[in-house]
Amino acid sequence: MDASLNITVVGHTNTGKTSLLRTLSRDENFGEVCDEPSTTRHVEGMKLVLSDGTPAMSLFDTPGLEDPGGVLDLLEHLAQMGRYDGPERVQHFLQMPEARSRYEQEAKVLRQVMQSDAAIYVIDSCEPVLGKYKDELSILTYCAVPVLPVLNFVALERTREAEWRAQLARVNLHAVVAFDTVVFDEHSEQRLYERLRTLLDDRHDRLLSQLLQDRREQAHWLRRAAAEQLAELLLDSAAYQRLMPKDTDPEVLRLDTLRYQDEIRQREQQCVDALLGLFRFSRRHVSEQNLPLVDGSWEVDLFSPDAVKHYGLRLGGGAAAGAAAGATIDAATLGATMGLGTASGTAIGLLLGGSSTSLKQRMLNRMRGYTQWHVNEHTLTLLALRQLALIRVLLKRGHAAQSSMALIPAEDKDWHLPKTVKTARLKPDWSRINTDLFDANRIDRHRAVRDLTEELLSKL
Amino acid sequence: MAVSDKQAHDPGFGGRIIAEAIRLEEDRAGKLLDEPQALQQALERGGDFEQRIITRALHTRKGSKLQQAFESLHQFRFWFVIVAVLLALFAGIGAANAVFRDEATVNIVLALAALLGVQLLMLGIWFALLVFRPGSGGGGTLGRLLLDGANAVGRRIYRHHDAALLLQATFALLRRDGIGRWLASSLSHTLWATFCLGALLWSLLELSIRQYDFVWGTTVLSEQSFVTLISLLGFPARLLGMDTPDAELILASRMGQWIYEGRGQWSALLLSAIFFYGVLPRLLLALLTGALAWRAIKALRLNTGLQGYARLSERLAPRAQNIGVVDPVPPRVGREQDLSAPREAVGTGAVMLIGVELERDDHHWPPQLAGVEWLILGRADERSQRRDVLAALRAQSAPPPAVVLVVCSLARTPDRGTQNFIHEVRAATPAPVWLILDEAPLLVARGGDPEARTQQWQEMAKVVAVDHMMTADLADAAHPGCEALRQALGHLKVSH
Repeated sequence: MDASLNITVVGHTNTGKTSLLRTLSRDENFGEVCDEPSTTRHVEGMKLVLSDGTPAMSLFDTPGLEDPGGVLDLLEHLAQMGRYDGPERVQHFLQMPEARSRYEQEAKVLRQVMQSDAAIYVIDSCEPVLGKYKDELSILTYCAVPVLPVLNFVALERTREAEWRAQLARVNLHAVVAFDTVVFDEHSEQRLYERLRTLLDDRHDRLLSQLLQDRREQAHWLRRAAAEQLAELLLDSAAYQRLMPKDTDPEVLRLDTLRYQDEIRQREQQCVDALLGLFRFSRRHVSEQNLPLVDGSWEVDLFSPDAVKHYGLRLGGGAAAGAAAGATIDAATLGATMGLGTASGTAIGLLLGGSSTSLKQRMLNRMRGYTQWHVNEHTLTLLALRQLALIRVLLKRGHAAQSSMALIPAEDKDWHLPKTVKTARLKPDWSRINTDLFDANRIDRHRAVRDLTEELLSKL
Repeated sequence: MAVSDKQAHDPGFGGRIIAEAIRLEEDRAGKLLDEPQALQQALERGGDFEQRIITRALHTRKGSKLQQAFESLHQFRFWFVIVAVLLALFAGIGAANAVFRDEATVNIVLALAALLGVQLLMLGIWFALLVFRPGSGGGGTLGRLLLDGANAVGRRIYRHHDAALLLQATFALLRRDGIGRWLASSLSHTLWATFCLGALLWSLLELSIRQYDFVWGTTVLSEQSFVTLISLLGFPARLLGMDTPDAELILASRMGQWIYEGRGQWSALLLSAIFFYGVLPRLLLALLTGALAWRAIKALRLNTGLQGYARLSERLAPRAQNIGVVDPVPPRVGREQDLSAPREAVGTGAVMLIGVELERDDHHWPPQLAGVEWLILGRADERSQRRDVLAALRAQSAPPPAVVLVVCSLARTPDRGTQNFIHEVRAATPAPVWLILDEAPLLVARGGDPEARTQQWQEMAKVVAVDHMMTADLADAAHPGCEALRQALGHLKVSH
């Protein structure tokens, strides 16, 4: 036979079978998920593929076993009629008229299980170990395929994980995986595949090892890529600058400032979109995943006076007052900002570091008689922390119990901007928002992205 | 990310440069090139994520234009290097020619300094940079100049945006894993090797067809230091058995001695020194650094974590393929709605209570409701319990119960098992069957929505023709549902 691996996902109604498949396939559009009984009434399948497109295993989503007691009654009745073994009884049941009428849904599930190499039994671990669940386990043992129980919703406070494990051990199911489809992390996914491998025949070993290896590499890659997205955002925002003639009319200045803020907002939104894309969430589904976003955007505006307060950031005394008052711009000449008074050409040259001569010249020309607008440190800190928090949430999928207020963990609140970000503030050619100055190929920028990515990775 | 055994063909350095150029272009534009057919191609060709990125890049319109530009740029670069090598050869010949310009005598030290000095100095600098400042590119100054020159000239010749983009992309890749360093070093060594080769050949020619006398001189240095220096330079040649000047000859050749002897030995010394201290080390280093560059290029993979590549992952690297529905929904599923008429309480018997899948432990069972007495038929969680409860209910025929209360937990999702049980309960008694939904706080504690869940139970109740349904938290006497239940039951009594 071919080495293709078929796994059927079974469970009582509304235990999260389809969610499990969605999580494993990173495909939020698979099937239909709803907190209602019997949302799935058909058997639907999908193949998990490796990075190079090789199919690793097929997973089948089934309707819930809604009346296991009735099915078990029938199966036991069959046992009294003759000396059938488990699979024979199930086959017999599938031929009965009841399998096409009253127990049509259960028959669908069992038919699929009988064709599979193994079954994953999804358990809502908040549920007590009720008789019907025991009945389901008995029915599954009749099918004589390896069963891997998966405890869903273990992250909730009221989980009865221990009770379930004890019960599963009583029916000789010792390989159990806790896999929360809502609060998901890469390690539990890997444990799931590892357990499957131990349950299955040797001929599936290679595929499952490849799948494990592949998913591990992807998880690693994903963290890195996410950190890199954030590093780019921070450098773009920190290095962003706009110049305004010194004697600009206050009203014009105000309007300009609004426009500049908007450019930063758009850049932040780009980063959010990119992150959602990386983790394969569409904006449409964000609200279902309990992310701190509304229609894929942050609830609290970056430049709103309350933003800093909202996220409970601790900023130094005067700074906090200033930030709370919405003073999120440094509108001062570069010279004054740096405490240089009248900035001479050399001084600006020094500030700009290893810039090319022509850039220095351009900068000088632009500086004369202009004030500079750029994003201040508190806003940058906020920008960094809330994206970091978003990445953490995404790494764990949506967390049901998390509100946007609690998003930035306490230990982050004293966080200081990395040195690279501070350096970036003096390198206008590092920001891709400064389209006329941006140079994608600068070595120092490459290094900065690399260093910052490392630093952010350590925070994930 | 290569996991599969089937190693798709390697797209090579060129493919990676094109992909990098497309990335830079997209980065500048701030958006991806919208070319679905390129994505399609990439998905069809397969391979790992990097290969898909490259296939996509090559199949974009921009990508095919870049490929053409890449070809011509590549040719240009090839000829540029050839010209540089020829120039180095002529430079070596020129240097040797300068040494032998004076017809009669050659100052051996000056000759060696002219032909080897600069080259050895540069070698020392290259080595020092490689050891002490590996990050800076580790020397290869000449090669670097050459590469820069090639690119600067290339940019001027191909005054096209594509060429500039390709050069940028090439640089971005050359910076990785020391490729640029080894490549520049390799070029440097090649050029110097050619320079020395030119010098060697010209010297050989000069010494073959003309007669020179070799001398040396010093004003402040000791004679012994010259003897040591020259012995040292002649060492490799002596190892090979060539005849080089010995101490006696060296001393005899000092300027002003006017003894012109040992021309053969001196020539052997000069030529062997150029070979062993010029051509040979440079040639070996050129091969070595060339091999290192080649290896680094072979090992080079695109950094797919870069934002320009990473955002393609969603479209280029699906984690799963949908198989679709394999066993469709039948035209009709489940029990048909029970259309029997709602029942009025006629029996004069007790109020009977059945608990279904409740989470209360034995201390909290049976539930109490002040002012109401009910007969507990039992809990119906297990199949055997359900059978017992139904049997007990059937036995209550005279007088029939006033009403049968089925208490279910709102924490449960209604399923067909429970539905069938309630149906059987209703079939087992002529009395009205009421569905009481208990334990709403449990559902709330789990983050569920009681209203939505009540709605689901309502639908099920309709199917099995439950006569009355209400929500009452029996554990909480103050719950309004308890009062409502008490009143409803009291109302029954009054009507009798």
